[in-house]
Amino acid sequence: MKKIELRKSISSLRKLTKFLLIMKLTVLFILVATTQISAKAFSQDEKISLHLRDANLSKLFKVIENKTDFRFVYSNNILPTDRTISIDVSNTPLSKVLTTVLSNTSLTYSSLENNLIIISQKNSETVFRKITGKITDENGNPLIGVTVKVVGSNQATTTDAEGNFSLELSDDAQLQFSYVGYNTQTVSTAGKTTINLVMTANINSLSDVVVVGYGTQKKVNLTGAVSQIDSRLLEDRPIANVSQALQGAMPGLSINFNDGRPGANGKINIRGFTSVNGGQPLVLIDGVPGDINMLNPQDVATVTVLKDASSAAIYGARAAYGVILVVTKKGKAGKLQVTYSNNFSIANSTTSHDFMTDGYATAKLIDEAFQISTGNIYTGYTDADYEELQKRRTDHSLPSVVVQNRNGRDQYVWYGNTDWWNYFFHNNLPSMTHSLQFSGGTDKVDFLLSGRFYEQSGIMKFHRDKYTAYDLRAKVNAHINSWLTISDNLQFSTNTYNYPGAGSASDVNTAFVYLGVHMLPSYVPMNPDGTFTYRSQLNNYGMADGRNLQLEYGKDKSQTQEFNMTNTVSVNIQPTKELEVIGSYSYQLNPYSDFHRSTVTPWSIYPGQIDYLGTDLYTESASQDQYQVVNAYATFTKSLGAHNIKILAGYNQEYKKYHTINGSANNLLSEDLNALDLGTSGQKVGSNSVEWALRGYFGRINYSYKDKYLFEVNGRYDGSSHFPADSRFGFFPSVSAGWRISQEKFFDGLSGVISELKIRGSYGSLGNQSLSTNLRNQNYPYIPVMNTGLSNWLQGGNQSQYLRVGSPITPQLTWERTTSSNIGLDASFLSNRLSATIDLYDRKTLDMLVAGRTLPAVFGASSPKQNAADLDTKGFDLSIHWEDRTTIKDKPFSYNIGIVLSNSESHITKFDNPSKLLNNYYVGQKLGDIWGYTVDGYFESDDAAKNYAVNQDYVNRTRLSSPGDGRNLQAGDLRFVDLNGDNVVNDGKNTLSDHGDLRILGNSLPRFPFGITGAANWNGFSVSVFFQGVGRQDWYPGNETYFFWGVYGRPYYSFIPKNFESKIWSPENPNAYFPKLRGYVALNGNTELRSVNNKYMQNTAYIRLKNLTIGYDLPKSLLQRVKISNIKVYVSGENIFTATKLESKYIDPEQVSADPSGSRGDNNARNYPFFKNYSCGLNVTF
Amino acid sequence: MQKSIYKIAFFSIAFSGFILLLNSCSKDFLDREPLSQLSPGSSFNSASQLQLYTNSFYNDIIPDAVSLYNEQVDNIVVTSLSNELTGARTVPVSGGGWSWGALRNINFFLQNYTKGHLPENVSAPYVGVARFFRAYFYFNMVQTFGDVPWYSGAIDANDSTLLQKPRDSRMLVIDSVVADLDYAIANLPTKTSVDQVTKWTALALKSRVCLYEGTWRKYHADDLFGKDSYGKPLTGADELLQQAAAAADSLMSSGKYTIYTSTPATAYQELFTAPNPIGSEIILARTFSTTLQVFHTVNYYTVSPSYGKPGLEKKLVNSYLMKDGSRFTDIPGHESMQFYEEVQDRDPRLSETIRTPGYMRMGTNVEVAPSFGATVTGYQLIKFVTTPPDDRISGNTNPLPVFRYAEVLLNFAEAKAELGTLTQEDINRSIKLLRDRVGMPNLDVAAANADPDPYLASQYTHVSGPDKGVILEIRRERRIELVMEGFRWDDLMRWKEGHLIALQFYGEYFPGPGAFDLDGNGKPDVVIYTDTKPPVQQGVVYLKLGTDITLENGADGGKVTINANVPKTFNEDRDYLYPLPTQELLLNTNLTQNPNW
Repeated sequence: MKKIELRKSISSLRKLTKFLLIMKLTVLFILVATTQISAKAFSQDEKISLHLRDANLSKLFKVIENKTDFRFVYSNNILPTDRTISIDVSNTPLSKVLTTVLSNTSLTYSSLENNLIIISQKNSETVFRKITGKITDENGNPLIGVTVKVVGSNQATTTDAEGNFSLELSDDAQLQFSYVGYNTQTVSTAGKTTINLVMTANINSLSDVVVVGYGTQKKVNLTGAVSQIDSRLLEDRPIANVSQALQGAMPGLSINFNDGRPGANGKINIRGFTSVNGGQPLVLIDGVPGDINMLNPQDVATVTVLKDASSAAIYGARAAYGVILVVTKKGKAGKLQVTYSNNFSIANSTTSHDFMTDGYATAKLIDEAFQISTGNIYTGYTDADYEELQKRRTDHSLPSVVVQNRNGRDQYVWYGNTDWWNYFFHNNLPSMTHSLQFSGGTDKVDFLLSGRFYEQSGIMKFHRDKYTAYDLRAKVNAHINSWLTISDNLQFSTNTYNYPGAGSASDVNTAFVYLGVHMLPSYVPMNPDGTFTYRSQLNNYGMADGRNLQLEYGKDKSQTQEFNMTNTVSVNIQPTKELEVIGSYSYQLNPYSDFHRSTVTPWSIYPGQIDYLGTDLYTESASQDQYQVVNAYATFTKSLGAHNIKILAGYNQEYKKYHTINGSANNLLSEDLNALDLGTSGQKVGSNSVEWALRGYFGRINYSYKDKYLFEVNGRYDGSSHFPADSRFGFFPSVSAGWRISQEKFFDGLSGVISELKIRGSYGSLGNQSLSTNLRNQNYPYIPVMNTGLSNWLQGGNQSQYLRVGSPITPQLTWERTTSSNIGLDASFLSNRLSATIDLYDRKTLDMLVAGRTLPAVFGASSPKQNAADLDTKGFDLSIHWEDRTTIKDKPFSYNIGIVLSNSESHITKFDNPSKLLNNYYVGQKLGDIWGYTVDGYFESDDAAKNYAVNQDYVNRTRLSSPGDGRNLQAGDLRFVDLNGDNVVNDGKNTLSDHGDLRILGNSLPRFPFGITGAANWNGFSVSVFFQGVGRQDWYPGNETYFFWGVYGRPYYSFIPKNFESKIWSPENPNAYFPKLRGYVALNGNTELRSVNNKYMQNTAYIRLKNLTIGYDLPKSLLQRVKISNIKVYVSGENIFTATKLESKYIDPEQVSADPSGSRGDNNARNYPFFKNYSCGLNVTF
Repeated sequence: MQKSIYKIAFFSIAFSGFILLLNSCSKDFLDREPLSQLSPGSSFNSASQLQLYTNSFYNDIIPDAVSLYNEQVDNIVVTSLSNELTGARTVPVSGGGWSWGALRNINFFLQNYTKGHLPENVSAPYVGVARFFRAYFYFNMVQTFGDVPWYSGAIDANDSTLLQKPRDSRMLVIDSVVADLDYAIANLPTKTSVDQVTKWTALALKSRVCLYEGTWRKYHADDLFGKDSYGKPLTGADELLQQAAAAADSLMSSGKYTIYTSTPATAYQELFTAPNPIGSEIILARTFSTTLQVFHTVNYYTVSPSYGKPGLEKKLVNSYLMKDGSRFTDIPGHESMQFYEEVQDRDPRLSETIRTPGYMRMGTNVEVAPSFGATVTGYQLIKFVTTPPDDRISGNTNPLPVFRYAEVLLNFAEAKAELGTLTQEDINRSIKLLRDRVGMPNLDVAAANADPDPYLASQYTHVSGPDKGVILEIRRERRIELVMEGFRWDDLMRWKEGHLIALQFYGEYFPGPGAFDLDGNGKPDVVIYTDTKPPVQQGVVYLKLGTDITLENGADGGKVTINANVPKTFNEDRDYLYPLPTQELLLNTNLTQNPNW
C-alpha cells in the first residue's frame, strides 16, 4: 500500500477545504491503487486548454481540476472575491496559465508531489516545519484515529494504523489530541519536531455518549433511566449468544435461562413482573427489531437498556416493558485492520451427578417405598434375586446378566450395578469459537466485515447433540459528500442444533424426564447377545418408557435450523449543519426449519427373540418470517447562547408476515434417510400464515439551559393491526427533566469532592400491542375466526380434520398500557473516580387483557378477554462504580470495581376476583407469594401420631389409600400445625379471608438480583471477575423433582442421590431430613410433601462467579518485528464458583429459578444441566 | 448558494419520494385479516365444510377411553374409593360436569349452517349429526343433573335472558332430545359405519335414552326424583319405554347387525380384543392407531400394581350362571368356595372377562394365574386386554365400543319386560342371541317369572310384579354382557338401586393364611402370611394379613374385603343426581340446586 502524505501544508486552510482535499486525495488514492496508473510527476509543462469568461479563481481552479489530475490546495479567504478572469488559451502549459491568472494578485503557487498545487500569499515568509509522532495508550498500544488538531486553526489530521501522525506547520502551535474515551491533551510544538504521547483513558467519562432511541445523547444530559455497557463484557468468553453475556451486567435487566442446552437463549426482562400476560422488552439491533440471540457477540459495540417511560416512549407500541438497543461495531477508516480471535472451552456440569448405582441397595429402597404405598414390591425380584444382587456388590466378576427360567420360559435376568447417568451423558462438553474481523476504509468509504463460527457439543452420549452457529456481518458507509451518507448493514446468521430423540429442541429436556424413571442400577443396558434392554419382565414397567432404546438405537434424531438475514439500507442527509435526516429500510428474513424422526426400535428379554417398540414417524416443518421496517426521522439541533434545543420527528412502520408449512409421514423406506418422500403411509401436511402491521409517528424535544436545566418531551402516536379500527391508535407521551446541581455556582466549593450531581425525573405512558400468548388468536384478537384441527376421533384409521366454533372475542379490545414514573440521581465523586446512579421507579401496568367477568358456564366458552386488570411494580436500580489508576514499578496500573443491584415488587391493583380465591390473581396480591402449610416436625411415636387432635388427612391423602397399617399416621410422619385452631389442617375456602392453615411462606420471584464486576490491568496483564446472583428467592420443589425427593416421589426414579438413605427418617435416624418413607407422597396432590410447607421450602438465592478472565497482551516491541499490532492470550472460567443455600448439590439454583414473570424452565429440575466452562483463547490484530 | 439549492432540491425530492413510497403501500396498511383461518361467515358453503364441522362433535361428546373401561361402580373395584362410592361428594365451586362448551359448538352449527344456502337435501345429513350429538349431550346432562336449561342456539355473551335462564323440566328436555333423535333417524345416512354416526347409531341412542328415562320415571315415581324441579310429576314412562322398544325393534328388523360369533369360549372376548371393530355387531366405536399415536391404556390398567389394581366385585362374579343355566348362588356353600373351584363350569363370559385357570395372555402360550399384585379382589380383568407388548402406558390400539348391537337387544328386552309385554319370542330375538354366542341355554321367561332369583331379588329391591323374575334375569344378563363398558352407574340410578354401591366390596374367598394355588397348576400363586414373610419365590405374591390384604374374619379367613374401614353411604334423598356448582347458582340466581345438596 502506498501511503499518502502531504509534504507541505498551509496553516490557514479552512476546514472544509481540508476535508474536501482529503476526500479528493482518497479518491485519487483509490484510483491509483486500483487501476495501477501511477501518478505522473508534476509537470507544469502539461498543456491545457481553457475557455472561461468572468470566472473567479476558485471556479478556474475547479475547471483545471476537472480537466487534469492536478489538485489545488488553498484557503478560500485568500482568494480575492472581486476579481474575475476571462481566459481563452489552448494547449498552453499549465505553469504559464497559472502565472498569468495570478499576476496582479498577491498570490503565488507552488507544487507538491502527487499533482498538488498550493496557492498561497506571495509575500508570506512561511517556513514549513514537519511535526511527527506516535500516540499510544497506557499499555503502549498504538491508538488509531486520534484527532490531532492545530489549536486556533482548522488544520487537523488523524493517526494511522500504527498510531503515527505527521503535520506540517508554519510556526509554533498548540496541538490538541483527542480520542473518544481518552482524556484530551494539548501539547506545544515549540522547539519540537517529534511528539510522542501516551493518552490516558477517561475515567468514567462524563462526555460519554449514550445511545438513545433514534439518536444519541451525552450521558450528562440524560433525563431518563438508561444503562449502557460496551463490548468488553462480551469479549474473551465462551458464549453462544449475547443474552448469555448480559446476565447480571446492568441493574434492572434480568436474563434467565430455562436450561443449559447448547445455544440456549435467555429470557430477557427489564424491571420485574410485567403483566399477567407476560411481556418482554423490545430488542432493537442497529435500530431494527431483532433477535438478540441471533447476533454475533463479537459484533456488539454497545448494549443500552432504556428502562423508564421517557427513554422508551419514542418506541411507543412495543416499549411498555423497556427497550434494549444493540449497536454493532463500525468500520474504522484507515489501514485495513484484521482481527482474529478464538476460544476453546471445556464445560462440565455445575451440579453433582453422583447417584446410587448399587443394584442391591437401590432395588431394596425402591421396593420398600413402593410396597408401603401399594402393598407390592416394584422390582419383582425374589429373595434369591436379592441374594444374587448382594453377591455382586462385592464380587464384580459375577455376570450381570444370567438366563433363567421364569414363568415357564427362559429369559434374561439382570443383576447389574449400572451407572446410568454416565452411560447416557458426557461429562465434558467442548466448544470453540473462531472470529475474524476486517475493518478499514478511507474517509469516503469505510467498511466492516465480521464473521464467527461457534460450535458446542452437548451432553448426550448417543448421537451427541451439537450446536453450531455461523454469523456474518457486512457494513459499508459511503460518505458521498459532506451532506450525504449512504450505508448498508447486512447481517446473516444461522445456527443448527442436532440432537437425539424425536421431540422439539426444548424437548431435549424430556430425555431427563423419561430417563428419570424405571432405570434401576440393577438393570443393564445390553444383554449378552448385544441386544438392548427395555423390560425386566419381572414387572410390567418399561425402562425409561422406551426412551433408552431410542437413544441407544441412535436412529431417532432431530434437527432445528434457524436463519436470520437482515439488511438495512440507510440514507443520512445533512442539508444544513442543524438538520439531519435519516431514512432507512430494513428487510428481515427468518427462515426456520426442523425435522424429527422416530423409528421402531428393537429390544430383547427372551434369548433369541427380538421385540419392537415405537413408531416410525418423520415430521418436518419449514417456516419463514418476513419483516419489513421503514424508519424516517429528522433531527434539528440548534444552540442559541445558553439555550440548546434538539427536535426529533419521525415515522416508523413495520410489517410482519409469518408462514409455516409442515408435513409428516409414517413408515419410511429407510431408517437412516429422513425425507417425506420416503414415507409409505400417514402422509399429512399443514400450513399456517399470519401477518400484522404497525405504524407510528413520533417526536421528541430536548431543551437545556446552560447544560444545567434539562427537559425532554416525547410522544408517539401508534397504530396496530392487532386492534379494531376504532381503538387501533394510541398516543403515548412522556416528560422528563433533569437538574445538574453540580453546575450551579453555589456548588463550586464542593466540586473537588463531588464532581457531578444530577437529579432527574420522568413520567410517561407506553403501550403494549403484542397481546397475550394465551390468546388463541393472538394476531387477530378482535376478528372472530373458526378453529381447525385434527381430532383424536379416528375415522377410517385417520385423524379427522375438523372445523369448530372459535373462541368468543371482544370486539372492543385495545392496548395494554403502562405508566411509569422514575426518579434518578447521578453522582460522581473524587474527580469522577467514584460514580453512582440510583433510580426509583413505579410502573403501573393497566388494562391488562384478562378473561372478562365470569359468565355462567352455559355460555359454553371462557369469557371473552377484556382489558380489565391492573398491577403496580415498584423498585429501584442501583449501580456504583469505582475506577482509578496508579503506577506500580513505573508501569501504569488501572483497576475498577462495580456493583449493580436492583429490586422490584409487584402487586395486583385490579382484578375481577371478588371472593379473592387464592388460585387466581386477587387485588392486593403480592406477585410470587407462596402459600403453604406449617410443619413443626415428625411425630415422635405411633401413639403421638394416633392421639394428635388435629385431622391432617387433607394434606396426606395418599396415605389413606395405603394398604393395611400404612393408612395410619405413624412415628416419623410429618406433623402439620393447625394454625387456625379448627382441628383440621386444610386450606379453608382457599380464599384470602378463609385460607385455613395456609400462610405465606416465601416468594418465588427473584429479589435483589445483583452483579459485581472487577478488573485490573498492569504491564500487559489483565484480570477481570464478574459475580452474579440473586439476593432472595424461594422455591418449593416440584412434584417430579427426583434429584430432591428421590423415592418419595415416584419410587422408581432412576437417579436417586447417593446416600439418599441417610436422609430417610427411622427410629435410629429421628432427625433425618425426610419423614417416614412413603412412596408417591411427593408426587400426588394432597400429600404431605406435595402440600407446600415450610420444612422443604428452598432458598435459591445464590452468588456465582460468572466469569473470571486472566489475559496477557504480548509486548509491542516483540510484535512489531512480525508486523502484528496486538496479541492477547487469555484463560477464562464461567460459573466456576457458586454459593447457595439450596438443599441439594444435584440442582443448580439457576435451573429452578423463576424469572421476574414467575416462569421457570422446569420446576422439577429435570432439564439440561447448567455448566461451568474453562476456556482459553487468543486475540490477534494485524 | 447554488450548492445549497442543489442540496435542498435533492433532499426534497428524496424525501417526497420516500413519503410517496410509504403512502403507495399504505392503503389499509393496518387492516390485516386472518390469512389461514376461516371466518364464521365462510364456513358453511359446501357439504365438505359441513362434514368438517360435524367432525368436531365426536371427540367432544363421546366418552373418552378411560370413561369407557374404568367402571368403578360396584362392577370393578380399585384400591381407593371415589367420593360417589363413599357418599362424600361435595358441592363443587365450579365444573363438576356443568360444562357446556360442546353444546356451544353444536348450537353454533345449527344456528349458522343455513348461511351457506345449501339445499336442504345436502345439509340434512349434517344437521342430523349435529342434532344427534345435541341429543347425546343433553342426555348426559339430564342423567347428571336432572332438569337443565334447554338451549337451541349459541348464546351471545350479552344475552342476559339466556344466560339467566332457569332450568327446564327434564320432561321438556327429553322431549327435545327425542325430537332431535327422530330428526337424526330420518335424515342420517343408512350405510353402516363404525366411526361415523348413522341412522342406526341414532336408533341405538334413542333406545338407550328412552329406556333410561322410561325406567327412571317408573322407578322414581314415588320419590323426590320422580318430579321435576318445579314439583311436577314426571309422566310418560310407558310411552318412553314403548319408544325404546320400537327404536330397538326398528334397528333389529333392519337386519344390518348380528351378534358376532365364533367359538363360545372365545367369541365374546374376541369382540373386544380384535384389532379393528367388528362391524357386524359394533355400531360405533372409538378407534385407535399406533401410527397416529392415539392409544388407550387398558392393558396397563389391568396388569400394573400401581394403577389402582382393578378387580371384578364378588357379587357380580356370583351372579354369573353355571354353564347349564342354573344359578351359582343356589349352590350350598358357594359362599366359602375358593377361587379355583368357584370359577369352574360357569357362564363362559366369566372366563372371557377375568383370568381363570388355564388363562393365557394373548399371543403367548404360557398359562398365568390372576395376580394379587395387580388386582385387589383377585378377579383380574381380561376383557379388552391384548398382547403383552401393549402393556405399557398408552399401548393399546384395540377399539372400544360406544354402541353395540348387544346393548340394543338388552334395551329391547328390558323395555318390553318393564312394559309387561315381553314374550318368549322377544327373548328369542334378543337375549337368546347373546346366550347362543357363548353356548349358554336360552332364558325361559316363564321359568324365570315362576322362580325369581332370590339372590338378585335381594339386590334389586324395587322390582316387583308378574315379570319380576324375568326383569331380574335381564338385569343379570345386562350387567354380565356389558360389564366394563360404562353402563353400571346409569343403570343403578335409573333402577333406583343406588344403595348397592354402599355395600362392602369383596373379592375372592380364602379360608385363612396359607399358600394358595389359584390356577390349579400345583404351584402356589399367592401366600397370605401373618408374622414373618416366608422366603420369596418367583411368581408368587406375598400378602401380609391385615397389612397387604384384609379378610372378612381376619385369621379365620373369609372374603377379601377392600377398604373395609371406609364408611360408605348412599343418600337415597340426594345422591341420584349431582349437585350444581355453587358458582353457577351465584352467577344465575334463577338456577335451583338439586334436592338436599
